[in-house]
Amino acid sequence: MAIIEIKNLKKVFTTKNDKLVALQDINISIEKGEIFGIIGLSGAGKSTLVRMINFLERPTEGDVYFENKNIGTLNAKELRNIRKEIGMIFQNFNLLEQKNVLKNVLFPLEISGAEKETSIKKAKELLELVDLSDKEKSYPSQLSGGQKQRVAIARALATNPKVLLCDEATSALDPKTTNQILNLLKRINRELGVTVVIITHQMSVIENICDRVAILDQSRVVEMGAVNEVFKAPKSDIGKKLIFGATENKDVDFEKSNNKTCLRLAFDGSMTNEPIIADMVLTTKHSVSILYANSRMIDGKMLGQIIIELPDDKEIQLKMKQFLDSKNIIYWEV
Amino acid sequence: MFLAIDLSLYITAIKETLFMTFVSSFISYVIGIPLGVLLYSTAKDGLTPNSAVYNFLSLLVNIFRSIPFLILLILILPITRVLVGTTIGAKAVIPPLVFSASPYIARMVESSLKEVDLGVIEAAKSMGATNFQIITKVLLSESKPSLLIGAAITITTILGYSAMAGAVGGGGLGDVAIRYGYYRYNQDIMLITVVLLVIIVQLIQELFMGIARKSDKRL
Ligand SMILES: Nc1ncnc2c1ncn2[C@@H]1O[C@H](COP(=O)(O)OP(=O)(O)O)[C@@H](O)[C@H]1O
Ligand SMILES: [Mg+2]
Repeated sequence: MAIIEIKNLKKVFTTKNDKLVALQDINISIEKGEIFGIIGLSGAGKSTLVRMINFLERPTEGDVYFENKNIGTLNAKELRNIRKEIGMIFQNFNLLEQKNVLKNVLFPLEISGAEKETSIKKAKELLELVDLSDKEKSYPSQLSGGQKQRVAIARALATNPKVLLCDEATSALDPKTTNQILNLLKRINRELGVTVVIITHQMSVIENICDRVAILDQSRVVEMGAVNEVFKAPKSDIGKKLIFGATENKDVDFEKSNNKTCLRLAFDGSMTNEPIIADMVLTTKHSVSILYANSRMIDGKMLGQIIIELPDDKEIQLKMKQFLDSKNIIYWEV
Repeated sequence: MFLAIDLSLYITAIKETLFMTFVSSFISYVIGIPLGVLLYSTAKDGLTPNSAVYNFLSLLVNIFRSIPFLILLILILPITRVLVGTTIGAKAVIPPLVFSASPYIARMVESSLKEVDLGVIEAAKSMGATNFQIITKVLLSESKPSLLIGAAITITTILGYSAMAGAVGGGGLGDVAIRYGYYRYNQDIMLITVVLLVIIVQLIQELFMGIARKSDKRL
């Protein structure tokens, strides 16, 4: 069952002498209990889209339904109540700097008029969940980025929301901390049954925890589906670029010696976990050097690209290419 | 020396000065804070943008801020008489001080509130906070250190103005300085009152800055 339904959504920003279509023809249905990813380059309209889910931004056209309620038809009070069922976390954490960790988590309960004793109990439980019980009395300025985001997560969960919106929640964090936060989000999804919507420009985030993904490019959804499907065979240009690496059209950082023949092998997911390079070396009985590799396994399928330098002998080169052809590997000379 | 001519003269003057300063500051803040919040809220990026209200308030504030204090003091004498029943003495200085300080405070408050990160306000909105809750529980509380620094500046300025009111028989240290020091050429009394004013300004300044520093949890 869809918990959030976005129908024919459009957003136009009108500035003094300009009209900017930030989003158009957006139709997304987010299922209860899933982790849904929205990916796109900077400026694609991701933040605008996620902010329209809880009406921090009003759509120019189209509707957003939360549990079959059309959010656009709600009055101010009803909208505030819906917002309590949709938690949100941000890239910059947005904690109250003058309040300690516990008070930050208490904040949404306080504004809901919840009873103090039960609120404190709830806040402490949440701090336990995000593993920050020992930081109750600390102020945000005394915490690391990862800790701040965990406080933000605890705070967002205080009102028992059914959905958690995450706008670039890991973009300000290092890879290790990013993984910790992603694991926490995964746990919240599995254990508390909270539907999670993740906005990111990082493919690895989608790959890591999302069930389904929508790729946003220049104000439109250009591709949408199960993560493993989309990753196996991205159809859109932007999808290919994002999945096979942002390096696709740029100079990859590898040292190509003059007059050497180099091949770029693209793994589009049609290959399973076969040791292609090793097999090729064994078959042709000649070695190659790997200059660049950016590949990953998704669902047991290999995705990404590898750049290899071939031996000078034209005959061996031909054999190698024949081998790659026989394996249906996409390659081209670079 | 004439230091001891009349110790009670100074004590009374200090009391009057502090009375004028703090009573005026208090009333000015009671008016200035809501006015500042209103300016902030109706501004372009505010909680409830309303350019008509904003422009009107903004103009009003600017008009009062640009009238020189001494002129204002005389200009509103009729109002002062109605409000406090007299136009001389420490009490009579309070209305003009409030008239000139409130718009000043409103601007100070507006600028302090503007320092609060919009992301934090957005987070509060996403939690279902009302605008009133955002004002009281986010804006005013997050900008507390900045508001206190503003208060240090405002209160010491009001103290300076209160001394000016001595020119019209307003009482306080300024009054002593003018009556004894200026009209009677008593350099010692003049000097002592000035030193006392400097000390009081310094103390108020340090006190509020100290509280501001202590209350700021960002460090
Ligand atoms: N309040 C606004 N006024 C005008 N333009 C905006 C506003 N918010 C966003 N935009 C524009 O809309 C586009 C999408 O922005 P955004 O949703 O923030 O993208 P993303 O989060 O994918 O980087 C950008 O071109 C941005 O400049
Ligand atoms: Mg964004």
